[in-house]
Amino acid sequence: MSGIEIDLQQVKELVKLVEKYGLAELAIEEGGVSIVVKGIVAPVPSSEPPPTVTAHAAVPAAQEEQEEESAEVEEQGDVVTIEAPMVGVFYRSSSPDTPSFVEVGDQVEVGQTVGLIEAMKVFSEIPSEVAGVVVEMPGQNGKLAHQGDPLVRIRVSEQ
Amino acid sequence: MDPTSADRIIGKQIFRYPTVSSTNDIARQLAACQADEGTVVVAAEQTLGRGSRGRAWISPAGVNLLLSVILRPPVERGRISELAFVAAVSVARFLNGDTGLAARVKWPNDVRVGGRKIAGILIEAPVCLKKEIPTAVVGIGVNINWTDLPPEIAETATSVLIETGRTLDLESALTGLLDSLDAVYRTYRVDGFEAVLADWRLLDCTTGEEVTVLLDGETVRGVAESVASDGSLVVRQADGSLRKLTAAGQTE
Repeated sequence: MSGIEIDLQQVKELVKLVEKYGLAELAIEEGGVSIVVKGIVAPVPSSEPPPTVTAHAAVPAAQEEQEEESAEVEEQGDVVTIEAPMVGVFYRSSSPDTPSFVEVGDQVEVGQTVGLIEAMKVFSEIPSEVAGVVVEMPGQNGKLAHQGDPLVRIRVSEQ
Repeated sequence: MDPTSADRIIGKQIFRYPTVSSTNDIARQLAACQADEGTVVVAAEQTLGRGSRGRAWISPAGVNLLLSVILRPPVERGRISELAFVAAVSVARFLNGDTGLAARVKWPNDVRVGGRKIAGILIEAPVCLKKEIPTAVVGIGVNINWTDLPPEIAETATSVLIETGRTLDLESALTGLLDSLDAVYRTYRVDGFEAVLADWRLLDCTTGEEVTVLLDGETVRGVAESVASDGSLVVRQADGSLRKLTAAGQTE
């Protein structure tokens, strides 16, 4: 074993680090020698609480995982952007004295008015193409919008 | 043109009401129920008559024309605003032909006599998810036999009776206006927007005048230089620069 010196104390410290932080693997390289320490637990980032991991390890795993999956789909559901169908001034309400058609967080139905565009005094109400929740409103009230500009973003609800 | 003629588009079917919230409301409901293009809604009185951006359209019962027309022009959505010019030319031509007044149009769809507003036009063209041909409801109010204008508009508005001293039969006035609308709209469908814009320019009282347009959170002031071929207004601002306006916002 000549030519290779391994500092045992260093290895012990690496193992401690891997255990302490629940790392899957820790590798260091120094002077042509590389040491790889592999953990035996599932990786858990230290900054996050571990329930996800314990849930994975829990016994009724099949059912729970399924629920988790569907929840994830809902959170990452498709976001549809309602775009300006024509050039004109975008309005969020039917008049300055009335509340906005929709606000961020509102549930909207297919066909529900989400905004209004005026071009040469012709007023076009803009309907939502989908049912879902308003997540963002890039269209600024009273500002000129060009055809294709994003006005309202809606996260599609799962039916 | 005879309203029963095969070529006639506007006014083949007319729904009449003594009182409605707004003729545009009724026409929009009819349009949603697949009413034919050219269907007209007329009312003697509106309880919630409206102008643009929530402003009220005021009219006493039984003295003025209050109507809405359903149109489905075979144009792409981005050109639906051309109807503003169709409507303004129709109203001005009706007034000039049937009453002898010298009505003028102010960009984009105001109709004025001697600088005073004599008619109002509110066009609503809600975007429909399934239809490729856009539907528009053209609401028109024309002050005919109205003399006691309320103080808030007495200085800025007028009527046919005030201007000519003559009372018009409302039914004849309706016929005259629908004939004019039908003629100008057929010109638009057959000869295109350029033909209507050429007629609009002959009646234009905007060009050369000072205009103020509230837009984009800012106020555009200047002299109206011209109206471009797409109907947008070209304004020369105080610093000499030109600004092309598509949206009218609030134009004064």
